[in-house]
Amino acid sequence: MLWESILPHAIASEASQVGPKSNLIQLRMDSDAFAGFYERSARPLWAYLARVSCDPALADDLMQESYVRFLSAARPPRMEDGEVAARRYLFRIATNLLRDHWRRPVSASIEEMPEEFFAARDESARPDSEQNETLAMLVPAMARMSPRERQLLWLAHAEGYSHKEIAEVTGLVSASVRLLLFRARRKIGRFLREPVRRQP
Amino acid sequence: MLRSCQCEAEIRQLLELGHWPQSCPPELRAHAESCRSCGDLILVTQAFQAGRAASLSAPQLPPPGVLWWRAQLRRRNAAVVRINKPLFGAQIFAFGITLLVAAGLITSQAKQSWHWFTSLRSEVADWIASISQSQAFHFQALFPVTAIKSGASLMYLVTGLAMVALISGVVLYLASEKQ
Repeated sequence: MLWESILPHAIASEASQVGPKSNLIQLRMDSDAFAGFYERSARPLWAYLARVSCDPALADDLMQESYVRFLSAARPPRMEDGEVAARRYLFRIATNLLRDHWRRPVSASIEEMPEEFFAARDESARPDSEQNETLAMLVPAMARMSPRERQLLWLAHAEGYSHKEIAEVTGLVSASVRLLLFRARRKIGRFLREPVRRQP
Repeated sequence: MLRSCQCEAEIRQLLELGHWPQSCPPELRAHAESCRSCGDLILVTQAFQAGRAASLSAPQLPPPGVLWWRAQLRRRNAAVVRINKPLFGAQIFAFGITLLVAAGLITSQAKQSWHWFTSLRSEVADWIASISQSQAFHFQALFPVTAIKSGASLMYLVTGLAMVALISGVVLYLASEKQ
């Protein structure tokens, strides 16, 4: 279904300008192209948001908002950059939304948020419900990390992003990413080697 | 202290390709067992890759058309706001001009109107006095002829008030149209 067909003409025509000279990947692409991109990128994005925020419900909301902002963006990535760039742009939007969410409470920075605030909120990720030994080991260890560390670790080791790509997504300097990631990896490695402590 | 191992890049590549540990040379495996940095890398990467794979099946995704539709609505609302911005400015400008014109009109007409009012008052007083003093009722005394003669300022005042009312109506209309 072409969604722009039920929109006012001015907007629909702007949304459907798909031609050989059009080089924007989205909003210039039709709803079918978006559906394909969505199918390929939505689950990894949700996993990133859910594991970093430790809150699946929040991940649901932020994922939808990320796509809406992605489609409404004034300066979207170009087609020539490919889907990888579009996906990176999407993760950047999601990262900014996470940061905005964490800044909304009293704390001014995500670094100042207490670890307890993020821990034990991910009900679906508890070992009992996941039935996965790796997650049973990973989730408690993730809960003991700071949000920034979780972001860096997930982008580097789950998504396989390079330092430069992580810097683009998070807004950090590439050299800082390397240092922070090294420390975070060492820290979570220590937690992962510890025996899993089951909560009563 | 930041110390990265020389074998890290090779191990990372093998991990990303899913070739660890099956397709890696035995010496690299032996190195990973003794190197803490590489050991951390392997442990963490395998844990996160498994965690990612387990998480991919968890979400209940909304249909993409809903998100597409929401994005279009948001764009349309943004366009409406963008279009209304200059209209709102024009309304503010019209309101300011109206206030200026009204103030100028009132200032210019106040003096003449005051003269007319005082003369009217004296005429009315004279008329009432003449009625009270006359034996019979004179209809011509009902019309303050001198007041009408000096009432050119009255015409100005009425015209001015009509203009102010008209412009105020236009301003109110523009303001209510936006709402």
